[in-house]
Amino acid sequence: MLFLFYFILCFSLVIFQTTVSSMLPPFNKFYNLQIPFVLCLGLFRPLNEAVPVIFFLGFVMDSLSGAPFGLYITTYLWLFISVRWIAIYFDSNSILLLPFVVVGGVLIENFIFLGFTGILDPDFRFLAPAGKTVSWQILWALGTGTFFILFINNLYKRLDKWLKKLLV
Amino acid sequence: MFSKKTLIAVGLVALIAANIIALSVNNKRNFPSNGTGRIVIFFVAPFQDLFTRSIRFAGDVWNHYFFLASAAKENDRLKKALTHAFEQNNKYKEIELANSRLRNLLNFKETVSQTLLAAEVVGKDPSSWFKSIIIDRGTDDGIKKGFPVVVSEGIVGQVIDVSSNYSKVLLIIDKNSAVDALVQRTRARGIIKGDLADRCHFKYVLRKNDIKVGDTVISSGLDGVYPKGFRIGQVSGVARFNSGIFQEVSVIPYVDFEKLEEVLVVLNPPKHDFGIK
Repeated sequence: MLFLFYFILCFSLVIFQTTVSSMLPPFNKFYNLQIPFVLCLGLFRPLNEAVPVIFFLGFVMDSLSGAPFGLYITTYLWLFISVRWIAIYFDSNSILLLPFVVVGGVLIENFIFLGFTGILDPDFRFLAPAGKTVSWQILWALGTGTFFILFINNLYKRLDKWLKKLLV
Repeated sequence: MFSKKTLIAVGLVALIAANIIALSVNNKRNFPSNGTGRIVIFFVAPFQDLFTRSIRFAGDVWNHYFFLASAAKENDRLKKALTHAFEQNNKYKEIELANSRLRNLLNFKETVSQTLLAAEVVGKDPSSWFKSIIIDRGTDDGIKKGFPVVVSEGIVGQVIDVSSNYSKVLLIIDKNSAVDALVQRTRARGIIKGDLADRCHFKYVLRKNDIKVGDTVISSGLDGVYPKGFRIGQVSGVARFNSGIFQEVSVIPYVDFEKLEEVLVVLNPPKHDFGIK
C-alpha cells in the first residue's frame, strides 16, 4: 500500500513537471516540485523507505529528461544527504525553517545541474536569463515550498494512521 | 589511525569524485538507448499525452468562448496581414516560376525528397537547463534513434530515445546538441551548439569568414543527421577578437521552442557511414 502511494505521488509529480508546468504560464519558472518531496523524505521518513523511492523518482526523471543519465538520481541523493545532515542540527518540525530548506534544495539542484554543465563545457557561461530563472525558482520556493512540505507530511500522517488501523 | 571526521571528509570527497566521473562517462556515451528508459517513456508518455490534450482543450474553450471581445480586434489585424500575404504570395509565385525555369535549364535534380511524419508534442523536459520533448510517435510509426525532427520554420532537433509509440527528441537549443551548419550567403561553415538562454552559438567559424547580423544559417548535411538546406536560425551577433582563429557568432533559432506543438520527423534522413563498417 505504501509503495502504491509512492508510485501515485511520484507519477503525479512527474506528470505535473513535464506537462502542466510547461503549459501554464504562471508555472513556467516554477522549481522542480520533486524537491520538497525529496526533502520531506529526508526529514520525516526512515532511510530504508526513502532511498528506494529516491532512486525510482530519479530514474523516471532521468529517462524523461535530455540530461545525462544519472543526473537526477545524483541530485536527489545529494538533496537527501544534505537534508538528513541538517536535521541533526535543526528542528525539522520548525515551520520557520522549512522555506529556507526548500530554497536550499532549489539552490543545490541548480548548483549540481549548472556545475555539471560547467565541468563538461569549458565555454560555459552563467547567463543573465539563467540567473533570472534561478531567481524565479527561489521566489516560488520561498512562497510555496513550506505548503508543499506540510501537505506531503500531512498525507504521510493520514496514510500512517490508516495503515495502523488496517493492521489492527 | 584516522579520526572519524577525517574519514567522513575523505569519504565525501571520494563520493563526489566518483559521482562526477560516473556522470561524465554517461554523458560521453552519446545518449545510450537503454531499454529501461524506453519502459519509462512507454508508461509515462500516454499520461503526458492525456494531460497535454486536456490542458489544450481547456485552453481552446477559454480562448474561443471567453475571449470573443478580443477576437474582433484580432480579425482586423488578420485581414491586414492577409492582404499583405496575398502580395507576398504573388511575388513568391513569380520567383517560383523563374526558379522552375532555371532548374529545368540547368537540369538540376530535385533535392528535397524527404518523407515526413507529423507528430504532436506531449511532454517537455522536466528541467529548465536541459531541452528535450516527448512526441507521440515511436518505432511502430517507423521512427528510429537519430532521426531529425523539423517544422516549417526550421530544424527542431533529433530523436534520442524511442519506445513503441513515443519518442524523446533532443532540441537544438540543448547544450548537448550539435548541428553542422553553413551561413546561407557566404557558405561559412561551423557547428551550431545550444545555449542556456534558448539561443544557439555558431562555433568554430573562422575569423576570416564574412558573417553579418541577419544572415541565415542552414544545415550543411555533413553531420549525417540533418538533411542539407534546412533553416536553423538567424545570426543575431558577431564578435571578432584580436586573438584566436575563430569568431563568436550567436544565432536565434527560427523555431519558437516555447510554442512547439506539432513537429515533423524526417523518415529518410541522409545516410553517411563515414567509412565505419
